[in-house]
Amino acid sequence: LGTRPDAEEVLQETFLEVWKRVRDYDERRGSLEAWVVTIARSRSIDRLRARGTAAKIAEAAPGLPFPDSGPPPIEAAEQRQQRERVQAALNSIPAEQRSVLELAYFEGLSQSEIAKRMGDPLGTVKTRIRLGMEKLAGMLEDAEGTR
Amino acid sequence: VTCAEFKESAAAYALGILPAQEERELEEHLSESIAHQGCHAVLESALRTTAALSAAVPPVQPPDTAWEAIESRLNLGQTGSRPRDQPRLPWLIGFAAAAVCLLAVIQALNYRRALTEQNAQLAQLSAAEAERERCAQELQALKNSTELQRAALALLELPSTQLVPLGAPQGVRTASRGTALFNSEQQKAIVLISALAPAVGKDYELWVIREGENPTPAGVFKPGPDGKAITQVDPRVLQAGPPGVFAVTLEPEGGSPAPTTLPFLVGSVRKT
Repeated sequence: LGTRPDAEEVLQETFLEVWKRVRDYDERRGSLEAWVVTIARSRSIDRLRARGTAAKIAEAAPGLPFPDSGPPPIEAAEQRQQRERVQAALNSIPAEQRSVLELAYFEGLSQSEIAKRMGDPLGTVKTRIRLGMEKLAGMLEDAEGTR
Repeated sequence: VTCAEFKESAAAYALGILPAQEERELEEHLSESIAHQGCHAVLESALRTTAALSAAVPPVQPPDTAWEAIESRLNLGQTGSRPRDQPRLPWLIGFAAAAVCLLAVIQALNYRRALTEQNAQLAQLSAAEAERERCAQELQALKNSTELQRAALALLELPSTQLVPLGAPQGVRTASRGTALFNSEQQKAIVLISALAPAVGKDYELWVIREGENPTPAGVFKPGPDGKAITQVDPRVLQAGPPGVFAVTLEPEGGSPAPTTLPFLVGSVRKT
């Protein structure tokens, strides 16, 4: 989102939604953390769209303009290692697959919107998303296994 | 929707980019009592990968007021728990340690007065002195730990800092794991380890190993009560040359000039 007030507002909305929808949580569909992250991401995308900007979170994130007091060092080191693993995995998949995943995940574009944005057939976008996710899953699981 | 169609769309479903109608159809398929052909496993993998993508951006710590605002919007008042209390923890520990020490000193002083009345001044003075010394040591340890934590976080912020995972070598079983933060430009390294067993009558010792050389002792340390340790690699050892491997052993108290046990954590530094 790139601005602290927006991020804090989304944080509040996320917890409010978690509180209201906690009965919808189904552990068979993934971890609680993943569910909360999904809600946070959806609310972020809603806010980005409402703001009418196509600013990419991925581009804004490295230079976030506010200081971060951060978690304790051991947890911070683990987070950075995980970040480096995910970034390395993202960088090692073909560029066209990475692009569709970034547009889908960080901008929340639908498959049709991605197809329009990239000027590719819808079927191609669908295949790139599926292949990209499969490759990422494999690489992240391998990285997890070698830790 | 067939199982094959479901698996084709599972990634897009996990990413939350499907139209609502398509999402509903996939959910209906998933809840069907049929012999699925790996639908659940494919979806779980896609959901895990989607969740992992959130780690691609650096985390940002919310302010303490964020939770208060959420409580207020939920009308919980002050009755809700505070899951984001972590940033206050070092301060709370500091205040708690100071309060305990203060109480201990007051108790020691009261005790001294009682003993004075019984002509046992000398004994209680010595007890109060020992208590004061213990408190001073505890506070000093807390201060050192806080300074190291700050140094570790500063090192972590530098893009040039290499994170060296420390894990058990082949054939060694341990719950401990760690990370060495190594910055070659600053010739500085801080090691973070968790799940360490208490070292009663012993010390943990860090080693720097270079190719073709014997291990060089790089500092001894003890874990905290939570099994965690943060310790700095002796800068003189790093000034002598780039490290190849960091290793940790359990040694007699005070450390050893050469390892007397096999390392239970090792990590190789990436050559840059």
